[in-house]
Amino acid sequence: MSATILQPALPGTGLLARFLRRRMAAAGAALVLLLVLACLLGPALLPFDPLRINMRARFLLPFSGPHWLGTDELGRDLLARVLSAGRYSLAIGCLAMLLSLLVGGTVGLVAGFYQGRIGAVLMRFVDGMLCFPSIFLLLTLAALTSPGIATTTLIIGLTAWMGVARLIQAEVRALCERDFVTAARALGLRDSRILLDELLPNIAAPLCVAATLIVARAILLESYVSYLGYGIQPPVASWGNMLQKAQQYFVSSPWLAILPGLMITLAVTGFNAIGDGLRDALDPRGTR
Amino acid sequence: MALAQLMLRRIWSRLAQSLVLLGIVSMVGFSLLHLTPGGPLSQFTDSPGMTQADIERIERQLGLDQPLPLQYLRWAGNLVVGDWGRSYRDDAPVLSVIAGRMGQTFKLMLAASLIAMTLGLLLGVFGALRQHGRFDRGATLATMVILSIPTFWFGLLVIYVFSQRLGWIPAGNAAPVGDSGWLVALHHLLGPAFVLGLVNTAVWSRYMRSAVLECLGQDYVRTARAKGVAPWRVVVRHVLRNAWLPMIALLGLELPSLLGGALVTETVFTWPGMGRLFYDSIANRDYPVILGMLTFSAILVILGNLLADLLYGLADPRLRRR
Repeated sequence: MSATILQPALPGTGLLARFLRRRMAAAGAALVLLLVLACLLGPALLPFDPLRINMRARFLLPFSGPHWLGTDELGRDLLARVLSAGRYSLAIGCLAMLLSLLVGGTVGLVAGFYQGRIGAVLMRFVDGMLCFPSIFLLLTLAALTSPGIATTTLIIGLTAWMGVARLIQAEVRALCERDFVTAARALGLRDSRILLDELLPNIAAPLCVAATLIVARAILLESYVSYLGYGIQPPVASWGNMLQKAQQYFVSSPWLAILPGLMITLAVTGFNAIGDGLRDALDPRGTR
Repeated sequence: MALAQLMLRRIWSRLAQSLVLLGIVSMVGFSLLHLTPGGPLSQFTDSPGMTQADIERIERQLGLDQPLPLQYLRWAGNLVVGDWGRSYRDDAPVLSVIAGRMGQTFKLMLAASLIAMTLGLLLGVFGALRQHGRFDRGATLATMVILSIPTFWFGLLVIYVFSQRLGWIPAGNAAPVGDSGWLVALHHLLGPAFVLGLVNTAVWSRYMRSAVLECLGQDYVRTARAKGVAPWRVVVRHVLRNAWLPMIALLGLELPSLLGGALVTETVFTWPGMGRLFYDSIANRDYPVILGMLTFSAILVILGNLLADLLYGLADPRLRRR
């Protein structure tokens, strides 16, 4: 694998076409778009408040009457709840992704550029963090801090960055062998300029792929933490904590648990499909 | 002779790396618990009956009033000699609490891995043999969806369908009290092992597929085909024998997520393993057990990676001959 083959494929001509040609990737993008639109606009369009309790209309079945998807154990409209929950789950996924890209990207850039002692120390730290199963780390952090939207986002972002760091470090190491970096050094450019102006644009492609895959992962992690009771707290609904409550009524009304889980699966599948498609489309070797 | 020396050097260098990693991991775990806002005493400070004097007394008793680096050194020293502290809940030694749960988790992980490897191998190989065929497309889509399903939700669905509706499997626990027949145990293992196994099948089949695809493009496969070796024989003797190698490394790499998956599965199925222990100790804020479990899981992962690495060295003739 010589350096010339590894020409960084920058987002540009034909990328969208190559991406959309993959049926699964296009379907994933459509799915995510649909979910985002529904969650953004849905709660405003629906005549029901997701937090409004109506004890006379508990456990209504889907497709029976004004509540399209039925009501939950407190008589709240399930469709309104699942859509407003999606706002939190998707937003937390995206914010946690930004945070982990920031941390992981910085660590990866620095460790890849300064390959000496700094790089070694940083990467050993990354190796160490990766030894902990991420759910173990997450639960520990979640249990020791006060649960909430901000903390949940923060701890997911701070436990999901290691993979990015590894990926970017490898990319940057390879880039540092290339002539344009040598040239920039020979010209006497400051390190910060080489890092930000020369290297950063060249790792845009792998960063994009990592970003979508991390959103998928972050949504899943949010659902785990909230399901286990240490994430988003009621009355605010997220897909994870809707499941926590629904578990109690699982035998009598399984629908309450099936719907939020289905939403998580759809969203995560969508983001994963986009990520896989982007990776293939950006891979210069994949001409299929 | 040279071979033995080479292997020995490899083993030593890997051991040294693992030790360094162990040091880092213990430091990270320790500072994680001590630097978070709650801190190790949150269980006590939250209870209303505690006065400031009580808390200071406990702090002194547990040595928490000393500077952090000193505390770490003492903790790490005790760790090495097997003294992992005592549970806040029932004063039992942490290591024996963990050891008591280990067996159930290993049983679950082993059963799940067997399911995952078998299914993953089949899906991956048959997918790769007819790349972009109908089966391959279906398998690729299925693995992507399975990787996107929240494990606990999947577990809930399995319990609902196979336990509540069909009554084929028990809804949870390892076995009823007093019943120690292996058939009963196996019956209880079925649900959680299936859930954890299927989730990991997706990972295995993805890796297997790309490994087989890579092998199929190699010269030796073309040679074997050209000289008229039977197709199935090419797959078994030439492709699989080489595609298996990365799988050994994967075994080590996937250990953290297998452990994490076990935690979630155990919580849903009330399986009395390490994951359940961890979840319970989080709920009780049983700080010594939390720290112990965190350290223990990381040690397991480091050991698993070390083992996988050495096995890989043994299994790959290219590494042996050099």
